[in-house]
Amino acid sequence: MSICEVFIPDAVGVEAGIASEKYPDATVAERMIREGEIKVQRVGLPGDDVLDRYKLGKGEKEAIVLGIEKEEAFIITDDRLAYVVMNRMKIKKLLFLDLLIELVEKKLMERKVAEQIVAAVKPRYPEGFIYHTLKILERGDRRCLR
Amino acid sequence: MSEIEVKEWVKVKFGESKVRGSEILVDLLARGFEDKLRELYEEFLRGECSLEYLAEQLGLNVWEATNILERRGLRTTNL
Repeated sequence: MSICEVFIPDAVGVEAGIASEKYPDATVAERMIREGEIKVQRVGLPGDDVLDRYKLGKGEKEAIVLGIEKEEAFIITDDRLAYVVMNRMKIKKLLFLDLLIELVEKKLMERKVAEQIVAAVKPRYPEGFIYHTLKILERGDRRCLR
Repeated sequence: MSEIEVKEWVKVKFGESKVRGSEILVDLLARGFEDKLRELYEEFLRGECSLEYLAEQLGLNVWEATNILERRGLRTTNL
């Protein structure tokens, strides 16, 4: 992957490995890990129990710690609870759809490619998120109110 | 989770003999699984737990949980 570096915490890498025989996207993730396109980082969870008090998964908790360690990085999440916790911790984060917008805005991805990805993931999101994303990509304006 | 999926799950967790041994166990597990899934999914939709947490509580990974929700026509994001 030449346009940005992708890191995942150990727990996410392990899950991808386990699921790779059964699920095509996990297979792709596992291959990218094996070929070094996605870098797996070992993360030590802190001794205090703040993150454990939230109903987050191990991978999400490790991703939050990784986000704290890598201050310049953005964590990509579409989970509401994870997003809120990251916001409280002042960690940089993006929804997946906003990552696509960022990449297009920074001219790291063709708009057409981003639109194709949006079309592919459309069933996962409420309609407003998809429509808004396509409008931002079309107009180059985040607020789209004019 | 269907009865067949529960049988598969029991086989993975406890071995082949347990699957053959108890149809009642399979029925109870399927019902228990469905109840737990429903309870966790409601928490997930309210933003009180994450999808990965839901998966962990059911003994699944995220891909398996996503697959189970999608096959039921349920959303896999809680935005």
